[in-house]
Amino acid sequence: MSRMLDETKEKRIIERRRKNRISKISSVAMPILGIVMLFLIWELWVILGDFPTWQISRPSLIIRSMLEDFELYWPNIVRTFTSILKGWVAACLIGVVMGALMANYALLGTTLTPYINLLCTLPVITLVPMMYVFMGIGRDVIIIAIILQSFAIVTMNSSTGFMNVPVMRIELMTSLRATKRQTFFQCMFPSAINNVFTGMKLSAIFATTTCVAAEVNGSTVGLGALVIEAKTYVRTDQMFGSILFIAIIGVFFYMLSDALEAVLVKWKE
Amino acid sequence: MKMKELMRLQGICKVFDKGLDELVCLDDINLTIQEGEYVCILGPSGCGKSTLLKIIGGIEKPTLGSIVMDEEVFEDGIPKSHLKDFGFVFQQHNLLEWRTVQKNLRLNLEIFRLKGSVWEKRVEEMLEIVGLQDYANIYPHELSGGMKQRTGIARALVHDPKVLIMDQPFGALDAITRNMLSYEMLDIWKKTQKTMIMVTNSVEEALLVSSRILVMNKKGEFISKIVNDVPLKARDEKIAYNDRYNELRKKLDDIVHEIQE
Amino acid sequence: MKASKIRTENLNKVFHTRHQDIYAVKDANIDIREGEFVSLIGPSGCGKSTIIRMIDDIIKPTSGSIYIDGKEITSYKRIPKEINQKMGFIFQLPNLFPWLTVRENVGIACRIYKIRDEGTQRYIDELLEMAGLTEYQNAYPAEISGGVMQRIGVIRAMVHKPEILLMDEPFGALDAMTREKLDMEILDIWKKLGTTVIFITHNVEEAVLLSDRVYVMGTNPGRITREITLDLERPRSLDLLTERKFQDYCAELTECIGHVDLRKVK
Repeated sequence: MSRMLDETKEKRIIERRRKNRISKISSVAMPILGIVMLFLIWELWVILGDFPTWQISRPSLIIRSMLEDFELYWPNIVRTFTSILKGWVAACLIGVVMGALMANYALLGTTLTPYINLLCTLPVITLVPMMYVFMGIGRDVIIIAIILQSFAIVTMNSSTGFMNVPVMRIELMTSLRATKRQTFFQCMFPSAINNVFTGMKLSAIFATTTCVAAEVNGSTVGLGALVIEAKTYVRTDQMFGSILFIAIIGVFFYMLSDALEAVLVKWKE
Repeated sequence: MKMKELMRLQGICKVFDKGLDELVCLDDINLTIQEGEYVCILGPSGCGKSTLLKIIGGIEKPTLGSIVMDEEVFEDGIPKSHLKDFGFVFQQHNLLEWRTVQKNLRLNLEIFRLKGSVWEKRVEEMLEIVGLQDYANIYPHELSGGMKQRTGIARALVHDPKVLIMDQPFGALDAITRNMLSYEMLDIWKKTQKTMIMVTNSVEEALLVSSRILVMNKKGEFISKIVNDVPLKARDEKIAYNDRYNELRKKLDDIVHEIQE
Repeated sequence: MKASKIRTENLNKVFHTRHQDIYAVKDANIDIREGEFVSLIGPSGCGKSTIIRMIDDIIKPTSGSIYIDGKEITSYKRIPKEINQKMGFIFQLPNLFPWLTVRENVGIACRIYKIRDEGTQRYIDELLEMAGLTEYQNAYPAEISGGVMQRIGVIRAMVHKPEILLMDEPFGALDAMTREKLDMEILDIWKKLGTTVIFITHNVEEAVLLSDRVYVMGTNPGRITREITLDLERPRSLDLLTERKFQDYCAELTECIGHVDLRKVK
């Protein structure tokens, strides 16, 4: 290293450490700051606007309710959480299998693609009342609704991934006379795994919203149901509390997908 | 022939941050470029040649060192006001797909705010120099790889820069097209008399077009500066039969192989 | 004269697109003897990559026949395993699977062909050592540079000891210095193993440096225009590049290939 660079090395090291520290701190601090600011503005707006509690609640009251009334929330949190979990896992499995079949069998792919696209945009929630009529009020309807709404996006993303494997990789498998099965599991699936995970993360969002909407529509247990109950008793703080717990569950499932991806996908494309 | 100095690099260093560690890419580079030269820089991949080009052309700022141009000394890289003195040709053509060939050339005029009929005429002139005058209104996706690169070259020249900088301009093309374009490049240099700095990894290409060859090693240091005195008359399809060419080629091949070890 | 290893008879490949029919290969007749090193050279789009893919059963020909060791393979829906295992294909890019280590990538043929004996593991060790990759064997492709990756691509095709190596512009994407180095290494491997090699390139000097014979191809339609036998002594070395005879062959080939029309729109 030349003398000039050597002399200025100390300065550069210090500068780099400083930049590193700042970026580490801000990546955690900024989101938290954002939420705190949001809550502050909300709180002040309600107080200054002198809104009645039956119209809208404030963060201080909401958080208080979430802590004090926790025993009320808990069974509903468990119910909603487990419904989403069951529905989402089933949706992911069905979605990936369908995506694989559609990518490998061209005829199946062209036949089903319009219906998959349709299912992605169709609000299944509009069918839920009808489903309750056919199947009776109960948890089955909720889980089936979750699956119906969430599997299509997994199918769409997965099959896109499977069909976009670099041609050269497939050629490699062909040159080795690999069977369709070998080509799928040893080449197509690992190549497309990022697409599969993207589909799973999006589907977690659908699963959460569908679950809650289905509960709102005809359940007595679950956070969605709690929202309705709280509305009836004009406990806006409990309403918002339920909504916040729903949001926390949604974020949890998203982060779960991320963690799973980090564990399974240790390579860089 | 007396040559005028165009620009001088003094003590140029470039250090990249890699997390908490650093990567020294260029260390104490000193280089003088004469007007009208055709300089070729040879070197293995990743040794810093591209970074050096970007610093010369004002796209990157050096960590340390100064650049002298027109009696002005720049301590923090080429300032924005002087960017129009340079024309850049990249390895990937970087043409805007939604603009026709001539509109791609106009892009440079728009960026440097050069208006008027004199500049408009240059668009036509540059297209003629690269032989694409009939393709002014064609879109990039309809052109072959070689034609796209020639458009890139025309674009880099349209704003009348002092220096044309080329970073492995024919690297992405097949050897046959590449060979043909090298000859065209020599032609363009003769016609425009511009100062040219080109990075290449082909010794033959360097010997065909350049007036001076610099060899860079893996650490980003110049280990050899050779004047290419193969006569211009001999630089055609039969260049491989020229004795001086073969002498220099052997010499450069040896230097290059030493670096690889 | 040595036996015919690979032979094509009036081989044709037509690609049907929405706008036009593309004659990628028209009436190709090639005959490669056992142990020969033959190059196919030509500009982009002349069908050279298509021909070797048809030989290795990656693409099916539109018409014509292919014979490997005298046996016709074009009538099969999928060529028999024994014939397929005689061939190894090396791609233009390393084409490694990023989720496998270097060693696992090299040994992928074993996984697919279900070859499980110990001897093969030792052969993989040998190949890794020959390519100077022993210390990298447990690394992942993302941690390795381009020139090194292409070596992995080469030895991967050799792991099942094929009698024929099909190489599709294997060093085209590398810088000139790395390419020259690998060219010499390939000649070394070829000499040691006695494999038959079909080498595709668009670099005239590379073709003359490496091969016994060169087939020159043209575009529109893709077809063989000329066959040239190279009367140069073996072993070949990089010193050859400045010799007169070598340059003469290069000039001849360049003229055969003709002037790629740089002014032709795609």
